[in-house]
Amino acid sequence: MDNKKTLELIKSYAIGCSGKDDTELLKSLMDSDPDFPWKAVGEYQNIAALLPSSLMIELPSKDLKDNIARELFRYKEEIEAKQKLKKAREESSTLKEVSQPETEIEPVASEEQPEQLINMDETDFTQPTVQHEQEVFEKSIDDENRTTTAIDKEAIEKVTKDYIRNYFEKELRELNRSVKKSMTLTIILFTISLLAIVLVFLSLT
Amino acid sequence: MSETTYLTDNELMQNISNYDSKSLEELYDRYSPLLFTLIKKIIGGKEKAEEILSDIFVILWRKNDRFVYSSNNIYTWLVTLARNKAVDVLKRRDNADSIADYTDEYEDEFIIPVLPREIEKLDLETVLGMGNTVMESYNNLTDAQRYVIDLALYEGLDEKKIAGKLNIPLPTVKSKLQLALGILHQNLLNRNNGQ
Repeated sequence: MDNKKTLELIKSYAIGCSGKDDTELLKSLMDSDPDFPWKAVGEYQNIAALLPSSLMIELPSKDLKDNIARELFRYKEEIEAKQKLKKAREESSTLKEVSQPETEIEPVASEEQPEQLINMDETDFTQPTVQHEQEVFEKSIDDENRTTTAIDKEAIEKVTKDYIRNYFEKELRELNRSVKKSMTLTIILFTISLLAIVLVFLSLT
Repeated sequence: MSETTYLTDNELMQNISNYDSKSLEELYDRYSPLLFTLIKKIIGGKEKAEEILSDIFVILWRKNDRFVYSSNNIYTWLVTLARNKAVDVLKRRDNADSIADYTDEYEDEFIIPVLPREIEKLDLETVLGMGNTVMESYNNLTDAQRYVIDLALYEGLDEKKIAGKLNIPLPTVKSKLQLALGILHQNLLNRNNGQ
């Protein structure tokens, strides 16, 4: 494909209006062309991002920041787990550099609590404010059937499921695949050995 | 003034990768007006725009590891993320059946932008320093070129849909877009590089 056509595809992609076929074509070029003009992609992405700066600026509500903090607080557990995993990986890679360990460090199974992995102080953006706590308190009085413990439990369960799905599913799939492979190989080898024994036995008799 | 005030966008992002909430707050203070304006332009209502802006910062907090630090371009990453998210909400509102379910994988592939390492550095301070250059360059385009750009950028229409909406041939849409982006490239990037 000539450079002109590639540049046309890049422009449409950067502004966000390339059709499905053009996007696929461009992505295949990105994957296969060693001389792909990545710089041009960046330039047109910058242009597309610059255009909104000419809009008449409007401000969101002042309490939105607090709402976002409340929303982010829901992900505290997930973030802590990520931090723990990151820390464990770092430790694991340090250990590998020093020696060749035979066992891998289990990143999440540890019962140890992370020591203040997330920077959260009294004025923390991701901490709900006093106002929020008051709202939660009032809500809990209104809704007696649903305790905060139950809410927390649900949130933790959801976060844990998401976390496991995101981080372990792929690894488990790969592990399963390699187990299947070795099982197949073992069966084949066993069959061959069995046949060889039978043949030897038959030839002797 | 807090200690995060003096940090660059990229430094803030580095801190956010270690879940430093003060840096996230600083980034919110810097970018929320622009992102809110962009989202509201795409989606229309204030409430929905705020909801989407909130989603953007949740994505930023949860998936900051998908930002390519070597690009040193948080500006384009955030604006494109906000644009993609708002356009996705718009498309789901108008035609929910034809779009795939919104999953984590979908978000990673279609909402979170991927910037090449070769991209030029751009941050909010640089953009603000450009003054009216962007507005002037945009206003120098013809009405038709501006309209086509707006339909693509703010309404999320692809070239075929733009052609259908304007009842003009697809090649005409393509040529107007190409020309408009070429002019913007010349006016914005060349001028910026020349400074």
